[in-house]
Amino acid sequence: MIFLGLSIVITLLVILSVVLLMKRTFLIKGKKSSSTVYKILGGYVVILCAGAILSLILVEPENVMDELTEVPFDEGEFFEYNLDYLNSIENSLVYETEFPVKNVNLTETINNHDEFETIILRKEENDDLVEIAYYEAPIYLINYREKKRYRMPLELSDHKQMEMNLTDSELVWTNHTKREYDFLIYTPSIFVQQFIEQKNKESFDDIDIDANFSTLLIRVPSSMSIDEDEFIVIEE
Amino acid sequence: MMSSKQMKLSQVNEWDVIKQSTVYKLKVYNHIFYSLFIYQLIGFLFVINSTSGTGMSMGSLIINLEYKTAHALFYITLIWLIISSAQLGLKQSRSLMSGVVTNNKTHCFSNGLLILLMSVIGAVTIVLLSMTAELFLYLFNTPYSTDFSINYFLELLSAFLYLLLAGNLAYFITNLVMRLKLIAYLFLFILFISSLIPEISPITYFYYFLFKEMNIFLFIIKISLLIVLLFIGSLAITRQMEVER
Repeated sequence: MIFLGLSIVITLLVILSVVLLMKRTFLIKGKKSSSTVYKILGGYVVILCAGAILSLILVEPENVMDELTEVPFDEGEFFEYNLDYLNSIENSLVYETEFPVKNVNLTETINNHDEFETIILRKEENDDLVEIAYYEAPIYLINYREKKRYRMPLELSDHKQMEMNLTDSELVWTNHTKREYDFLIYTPSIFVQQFIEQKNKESFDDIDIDANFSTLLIRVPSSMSIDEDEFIVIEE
Repeated sequence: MMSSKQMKLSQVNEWDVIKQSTVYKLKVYNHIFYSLFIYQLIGFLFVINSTSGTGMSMGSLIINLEYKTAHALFYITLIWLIISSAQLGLKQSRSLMSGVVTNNKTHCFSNGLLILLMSVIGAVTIVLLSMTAELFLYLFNTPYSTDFSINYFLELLSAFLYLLLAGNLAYFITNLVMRLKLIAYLFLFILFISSLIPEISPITYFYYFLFKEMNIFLFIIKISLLIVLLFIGSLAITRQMEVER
């Protein structure tokens, strides 16, 4: 809001000073000189050119998107779970937890929850522990027009804010994270949108939560009864 | 008795006359470009201060999308061009041309050239100011911003064509109103009545013909055709007046 107010004041001052300057120039000369007007127009275009060049240099998607990284847009496998892809992901964390009770069942399942989509990919017995892979579906800000997508700054470390508790018979995750992101989107002029719409008539910007996955490995007791493709409950 | 030094009517090159009268008009109508500057500064103010936005909430995640567009710059420049082009079609504009040898045809062509020039300047300044506004927003706004890799050439081309069309349309209508009042009022009356019924309104057909055209090449062909037709119309009206006089 401060910047908004400031920008209004600055713009008004610029307009006022320019108008006064021009008026003064014309008053001195007695009438509007065409050469003066065209000099002002030329100066105006030069200032705009400078602004445009600076805009091209500074306002690059990499800079603007800051933490967001562009991920190639592949429509073919975009909306599908690609389990082969999941196995190849190197970026994984392993949580090892000791459980006070042995007989634990995962009683509740979900398949789509909040910003995470967790899926159990495999169950491996190792001593008394079962290794389960949970896959987090990162959130993408998608620009259909340009067929680009940007990963939201949501890292696996965010899981640290998720509390894992064992009740009588349930493993409960509590998500303490509250994230709020503000995006400013500067859209092209109306006459360009006419041609851009051709790329995707149905939708423009969207959030996709079913894109790709990262892994989070959690070790739980082997006594836990878990079926493949079963989901763990996450409570808010 | 005729002397040996007789007065001769020299053949004047029409293109030279058009060039001369265009240069002359650039001097006479310099206030048009002065007003562009003021119009666009107001447009810039609209761009940086107006906003629309949506918010999405997915559980613990809240995403606020704030949109800013350069539409205002285009609309305000369009208004400027329509007013300026209409001004060229006024009868008073002929009296300003007393300093230059011209006829209705060359007058019309020089006006066409001036509209063309105004459209070029208008389109270039729209794109440049739009980029400057983007820079301004980038420097003074929220930490995360998106960029849609705007195709500046496409923006420039379509802005130029739309401005040229609007300028020629304004010039044509002004000529029609100034010189063929009855036909003009009849035309505007029919347009108004038909606009009450969108299904049969020419505006609807015009909208679908031009604004819904997504193929850039077809768009260029269509809009160029309209511009040429409007200019021929304006030329025909001014030449008609020459015969009537």
